[in-house]
Amino acid sequence: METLHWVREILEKGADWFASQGRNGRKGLRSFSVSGRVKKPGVHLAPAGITAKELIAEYCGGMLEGQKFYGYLPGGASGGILPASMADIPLDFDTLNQYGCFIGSAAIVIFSDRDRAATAARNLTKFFSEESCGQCTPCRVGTAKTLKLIEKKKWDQPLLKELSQAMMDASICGLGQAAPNPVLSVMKYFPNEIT
Amino acid sequence: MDRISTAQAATMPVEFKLNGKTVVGRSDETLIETAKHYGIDIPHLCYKEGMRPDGNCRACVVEIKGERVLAPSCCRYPKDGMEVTTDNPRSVASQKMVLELLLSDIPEKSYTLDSELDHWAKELKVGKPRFESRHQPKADLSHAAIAVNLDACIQCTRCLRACREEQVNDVIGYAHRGEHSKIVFDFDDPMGDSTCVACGECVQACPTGALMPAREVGRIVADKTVDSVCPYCGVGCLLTYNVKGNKILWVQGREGPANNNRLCVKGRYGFDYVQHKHRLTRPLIRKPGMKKHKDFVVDPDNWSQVFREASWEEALDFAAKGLRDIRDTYGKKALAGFGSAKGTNEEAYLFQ
Repeated sequence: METLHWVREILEKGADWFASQGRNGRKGLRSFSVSGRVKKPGVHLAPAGITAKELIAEYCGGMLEGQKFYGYLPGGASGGILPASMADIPLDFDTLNQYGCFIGSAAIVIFSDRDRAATAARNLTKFFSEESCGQCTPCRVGTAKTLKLIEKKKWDQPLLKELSQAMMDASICGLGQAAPNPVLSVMKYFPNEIT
Repeated sequence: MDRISTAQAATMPVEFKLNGKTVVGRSDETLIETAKHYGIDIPHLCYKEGMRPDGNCRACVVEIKGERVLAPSCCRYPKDGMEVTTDNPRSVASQKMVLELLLSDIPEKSYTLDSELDHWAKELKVGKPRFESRHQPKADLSHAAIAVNLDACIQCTRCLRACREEQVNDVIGYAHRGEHSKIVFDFDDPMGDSTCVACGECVQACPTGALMPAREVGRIVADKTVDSVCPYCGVGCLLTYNVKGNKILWVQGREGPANNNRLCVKGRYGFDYVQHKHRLTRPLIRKPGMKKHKDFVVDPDNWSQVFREASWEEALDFAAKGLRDIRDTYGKKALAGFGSAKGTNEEAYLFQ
């Protein structure tokens, strides 16, 4: 949809105009849907490749009063979760892959020190569990079992990793394949929350 | 070069690699089938020979070189040069995890002596499941012939395909979403109140005993199995009787040209007459002086007031004489008879 949206303007103004936009070595413009603990949430048109830190400061009026940037969802429910210490990564296609995340539909959710990544993972896993169509085992049963496992204060990380791998490898569609991402992110970047 | 038809192309050999060895398959034969020819048994639950593969259980996933995720071998066909691995750690880890997830949600005590899930769990050495069980549904024992224990259901939809695609009854459906997904009869009615015609095809299709003959007869070890032909109509469906103490426990459809493993309600569940005390096992001849009239009734428990037992020879002679007398006295147009679908073609031919 967004690609189609840009077609007319690129035809009118030329490819060079579009390609001259962008930041941190990336090209073009992107609509970022920012929500969470920022002063000005909403859809912001920003250069592709902008970092989360820059997005908050330049487009979202900074964090809410008295709240400290803690972490963020770089790409919607299945795009993983990153800590504030990793907010200097350019946000664009393929720039997040090496961190186990992806930009997806560029729906960014900003967390503050009042939030916990593990809580977000529980919420997202519940969402996946409810959205699972129920056709294949890894997703239908896997999302439900993941939710049970992460509802605990201390997570069984080896089991969750094993389960996540099977869900990513053996689910029929993208929902089940990406459903473990938030859980894997929490284990990787927020281990102190779940031990 | 001559053009070849799609059907011809399907039978052309396809060379591909299976666990490192070069094998020859066909473009119309799935990976799981070809693997079986080469002695490789890939775990499977929702796949059943003769049924449309659905690929939902994911127990048969294998690695295909160059593909991002694993592929269900029951739904995929080989291509020239494909490299398929069924037994590497990545494939086996997913196969085992699928079995473990399903095992965690079914009761420890099986409703069947022949659970395919137990079989594969044992083959792959899947231990006690590490996950908490789901909230279990109650048993549905509303049907006279079939017990529905969905706590043993693995949502493989084999029953649904049996009902909808094999028998075209379309009573069984798959309702709700995610972990609440459920096999339902009509609009989630108790099976006994549904439009089920009790063909039992779903029972025969179920790999875990969630659908079983009623009253737990499927859990009794049979003394013997007897291959036979259905005693009802003239179609001639092949079947197998499971027998204990000279009593039929339950019936299984057997592969035959007329029925393709299928049975109907009569062949599968209509066997109580065999041991019924009213069953005629010897010919009876009306006693002298017992007149026929239109309101005639006989108490099946007390037939000896009216009839006496006879040998087959005597009875056949008696009947033949009766028929011959009518013919000789009144002419052959005075004779008529009833034929029925119970007779075979050969019997119908003789009857005319």
